[in-house]
Amino acid sequence: MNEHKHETDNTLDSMLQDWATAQKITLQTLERLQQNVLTAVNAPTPTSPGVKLRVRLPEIFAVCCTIAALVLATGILSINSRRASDQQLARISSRSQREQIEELWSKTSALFGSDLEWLCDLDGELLLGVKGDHATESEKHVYLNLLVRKYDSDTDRWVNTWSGRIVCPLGKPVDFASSDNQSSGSFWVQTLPDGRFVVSNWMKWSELPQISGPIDNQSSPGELQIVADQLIEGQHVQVLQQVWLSNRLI
Amino acid sequence: MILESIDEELIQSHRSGDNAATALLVQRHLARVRNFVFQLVLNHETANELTQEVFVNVLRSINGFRGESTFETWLHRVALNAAYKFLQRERRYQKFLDDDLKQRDTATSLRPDARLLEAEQQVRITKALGTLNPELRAAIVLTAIQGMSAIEAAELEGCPVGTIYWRIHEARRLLQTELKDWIE
Repeated sequence: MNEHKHETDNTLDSMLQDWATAQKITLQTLERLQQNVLTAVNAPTPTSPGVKLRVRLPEIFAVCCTIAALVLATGILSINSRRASDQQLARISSRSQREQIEELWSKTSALFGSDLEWLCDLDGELLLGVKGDHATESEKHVYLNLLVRKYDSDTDRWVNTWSGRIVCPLGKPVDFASSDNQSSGSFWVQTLPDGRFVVSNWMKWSELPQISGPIDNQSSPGELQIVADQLIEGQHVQVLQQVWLSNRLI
Repeated sequence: MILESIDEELIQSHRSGDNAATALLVQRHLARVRNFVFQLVLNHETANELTQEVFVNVLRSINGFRGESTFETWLHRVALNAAYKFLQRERRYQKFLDDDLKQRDTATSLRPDARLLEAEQQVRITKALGTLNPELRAAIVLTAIQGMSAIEAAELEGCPVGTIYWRIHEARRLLQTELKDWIE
């Protein structure tokens, strides 16, 4: 029995070793990977400019709004520093910050009436979406804080590279795209029976460290969550997210 | 011992900003670490990304390496943790595995019969390893493929040797069931 067991073990080990040999990295890929590693290790971390976004949707008329002055007056764009420590991160996700975006939504809604469907404060640029013909009244809106940050090894700190605050209808996707197609994304949020949210983001920035692709996750109301944690072109990049409903501040 | 001494010298030179030493250090260990990571995550693209992440993190935090273990052991430990973190956080390894296998199925479909049979075995082994949970997979990879002893594997994992023995035993049992057509 033991002999038989040893035989099968040896056969299995031999198969695994052959498999490992066959799956070895090719010389070409190895050379490319080595180059990527060395570039990433030696490269300084540049500071990326913000993304300029314009909405371009056939069904939803989006306005790049001139009420930036109003926004500034209410202190909404207080996240204007590109450098932020974890302490600053906590401040960004704080109750007062959440209240500010709710206040912005409230004031902007008052200006546009019930036609206003969604709002995005994308790194300081305010985009508004107006309802299409098929929009329904009295829908619930959900609030999202999004933050992209990268690790600066020189200063041993996280550096915020982009922030976005979005108000969108629950269960309805909100899409945006820049006019030059350099940046695009979509958000969709729905509630679960237990009160948590299912959030589906698709985002792409070409000027930032190139993040592209879907981010699907579940989130508790008000919880600041790291929803993406990747090494992109040698830069350690994180996407953080916070979601809540207006009628249940955390 | 000589190899470890070479690593120590390269690390010293890397610390003092010698790019050539950094390149050599990477060159010496990259293939082995990358193959190890692939054996854990079972997806080539993911293995490349994680390996890059491991090397960047290790080389940038080289001052934290105090030489209590060899550089190679340290690298493997960081790689193992990165793979675990990926597998546990993403919980997507089955999806990645499926995607990778689809690519392989396409890539091998035009090969001659003998190669096809071999390719099919490769796919079956990858699938079989994919059925193991990360801890069992790591135990069999470390010992059967990487050639470590159970004691070395336990040191890398930071768990008792008995735990490693059990994981190896369980991994073998499950793999032999999955691959019985090929083993018999």
